[in-house]
Amino acid sequence: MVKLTIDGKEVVAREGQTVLEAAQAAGIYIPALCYHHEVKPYTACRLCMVEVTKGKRTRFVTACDYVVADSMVVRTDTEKVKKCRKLVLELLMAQCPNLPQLQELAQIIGVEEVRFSKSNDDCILCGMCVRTCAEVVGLHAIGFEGRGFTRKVCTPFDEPSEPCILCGACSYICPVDVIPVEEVDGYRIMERWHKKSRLVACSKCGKYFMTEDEFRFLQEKTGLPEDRLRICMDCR
Amino acid sequence: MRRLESREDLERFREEALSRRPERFISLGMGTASRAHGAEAVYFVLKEEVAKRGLDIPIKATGDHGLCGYAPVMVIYPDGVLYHSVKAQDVPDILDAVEKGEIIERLLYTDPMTGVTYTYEEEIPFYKKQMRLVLGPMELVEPLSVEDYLCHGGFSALTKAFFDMKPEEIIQEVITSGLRGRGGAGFRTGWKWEDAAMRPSPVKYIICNGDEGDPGAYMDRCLLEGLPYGVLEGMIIGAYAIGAHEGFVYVRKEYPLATHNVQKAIETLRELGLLGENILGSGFDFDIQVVRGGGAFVCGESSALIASVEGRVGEPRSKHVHATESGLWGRPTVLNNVETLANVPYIVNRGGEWFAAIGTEESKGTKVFSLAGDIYNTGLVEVPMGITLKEVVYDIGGGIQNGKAFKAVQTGGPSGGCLPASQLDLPVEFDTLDAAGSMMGSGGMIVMDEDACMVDVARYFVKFLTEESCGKCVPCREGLRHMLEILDRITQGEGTMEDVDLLEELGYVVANASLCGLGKSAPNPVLSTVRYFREEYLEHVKDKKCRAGVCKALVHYKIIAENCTGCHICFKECPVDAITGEPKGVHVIDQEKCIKCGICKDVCKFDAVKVV
Repeated sequence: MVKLTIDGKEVVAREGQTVLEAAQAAGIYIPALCYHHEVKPYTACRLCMVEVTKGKRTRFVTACDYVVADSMVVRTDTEKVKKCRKLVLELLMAQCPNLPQLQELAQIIGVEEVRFSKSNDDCILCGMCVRTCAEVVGLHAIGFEGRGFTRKVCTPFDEPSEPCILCGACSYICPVDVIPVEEVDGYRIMERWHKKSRLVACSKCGKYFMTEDEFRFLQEKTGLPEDRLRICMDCR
Repeated sequence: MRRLESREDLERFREEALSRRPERFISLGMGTASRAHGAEAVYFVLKEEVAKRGLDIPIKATGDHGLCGYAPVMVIYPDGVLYHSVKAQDVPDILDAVEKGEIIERLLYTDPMTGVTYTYEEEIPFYKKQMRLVLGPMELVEPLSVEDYLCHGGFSALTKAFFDMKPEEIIQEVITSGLRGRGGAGFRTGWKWEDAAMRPSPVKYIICNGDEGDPGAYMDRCLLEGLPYGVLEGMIIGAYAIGAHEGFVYVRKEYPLATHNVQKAIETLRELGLLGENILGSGFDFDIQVVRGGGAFVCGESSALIASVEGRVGEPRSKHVHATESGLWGRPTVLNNVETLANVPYIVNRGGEWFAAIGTEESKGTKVFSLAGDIYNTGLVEVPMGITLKEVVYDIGGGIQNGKAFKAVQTGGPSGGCLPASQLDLPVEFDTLDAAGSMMGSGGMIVMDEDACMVDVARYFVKFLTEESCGKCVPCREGLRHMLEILDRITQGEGTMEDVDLLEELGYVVANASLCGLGKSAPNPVLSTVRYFREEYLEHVKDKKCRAGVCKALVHYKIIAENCTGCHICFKECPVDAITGEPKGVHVIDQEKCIKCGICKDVCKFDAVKVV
């Protein structure tokens, strides 16, 4: 066990835990948009930056991947933290002005106005979808294209992504909910990835529960007999 | 080629090389800068003419000699007579002179400030103030000739390291030397090596970072082109010290000659047995591969470079865990800059204390700079740390061209800062440059005269960095985009006072919250110009004026009636017919039509067109 203090509060954390995890467990709020415990830390949104003092040295680090250590002193409320946090969110709000999730966050951390020219993107480029697809699903159906502010998440060549099985994990994980999944006439459609796949119905209850692409993927991956795979989670 | 099985074999090879070493030879700079100035044609004619005359004068096609603005540069040894801006048609005269022991006055270097003409290389002020340590052998060796390199002590540090020293002793010498990384961050090389050496992993790597991306910087290119064996020797010693058996030289794709030379040098070393298994019978195995960068500026950043070597997209990641612990493919990895490695053989040969005696308390040794901009002597210079900026700009650089006034010097590449005349007495060392709001960087040094608009300069560099930002983290991607937008606004005369404050606020956050070194240092050009040239920002914002006449939206061209002779040239050259006037009469520019291209000013022989 590791003992540290966060904002003056004594916190006990597990060895190897990150500052963000330790803070969350202790009920101390640190905003983070590109962090999810199921994927590796990415340190891109920079909202979780905190001041960490170890020995004589104070560093300004991302809480989402900085590992706790004994007698570490963490401050999440210094002027520097607040200044950076606010401006970073303001920049994100200029990039994506119409996301309610950002507006909510703005209320919490106190961003009152956006002083920059606005674009009309909807994706905050946190890479959560890309990383989930690669790390959790094990496919690399989507990725980043371009660099700097022309960067975007897309399928290869912006064409229907071959490996995509329309599992919807990207949509589920998206912190700003901009990857819609539609189900129409027995098909699942993900417009963002230009992909459409026929749905498979449960052999017991008859409800659609996965796409054909997903079915084939699971069949190959698990080697389970077809009749067993055709039963939905509820009926299993 | 023979295979060297032992230290004795190598020394025998060296003795043979020394016995064949010519006293009289012609050295012609043939690096990229020289080739751009036509050195290849000179070389071709020189070769032909020497053969035709049956002369016994070897010609060495070497790396660039440093005086790049005067390339192609040729030095006749043993006397060291230096000819510059040599053309193919000068070759017969040069050979006549060499045969007769004469000197060709017209090809000698004349100091543009003092008007003094110098015959010998060593007398020229450009070279005199320098301390050419790693660049020392540059003009004496053919880049790919092992014999030449051996004649200048090549691989003596390697054999000393292998046979007379233990790895920890080598590391101790490097620690004692105080050598700091020459790529920009200035981390202590010895500590890096020590950290990697103590890791128990059986697989370790050493990478040479030759992804020099700063516009106007070409130190690493010249070293890889001109002295590839020097860099590789340093690398082999480093590998031995930390226990790595595999190494990579990462060279940017835009450096074809450097890539070629380093690749060929590696092949030669393999044939000689200086790379591969059981090097010189020492029992130590080590080999090197060349990896070509794809052209992204950010790939010079260590974690992005490692990702790129691994075959992934060159994007930086958090570096709470150092590469020396978990780097390339998760293995302990030492990443050193080209110039850093080129220093290593000297430290091993002459000792850490000797090296530490050069330079200042915290910055030891020499530093190579690529001196560019509005000075007379542009080129590659190597100076001891602690030399003042003034000495570099005036004594070595020869001062500002055309009698103009000095305005600023930008050090450290695109994300360095611009320092004004008041900072010219600053010693060139890592920490003082940082404190002054600039940085050592990889060693770019751009001198600007009074015609530079500092807001425009900041805008130029921020534009470069905005385009090169990988886009992963928010402050760098979005922050730079808005900094550029604000700077655009100010240079177009639409800026407000709030914009200047906002620039500073953005600069603070981008510098503190960005993920990697690119973002962390990107605001430097803005913050340093706001700090030292604030009045220029205020003039742009409040008075809508650009004192340098650079920002087109804030200036207009005007014909001064007293000076106008009515020569009618501007009338003829104006691409948009904005100038009216009869021949021999005073001409006038129609401000509505004028596109401010500046052609009228360029063509006027009577200095009648002014920017106001």
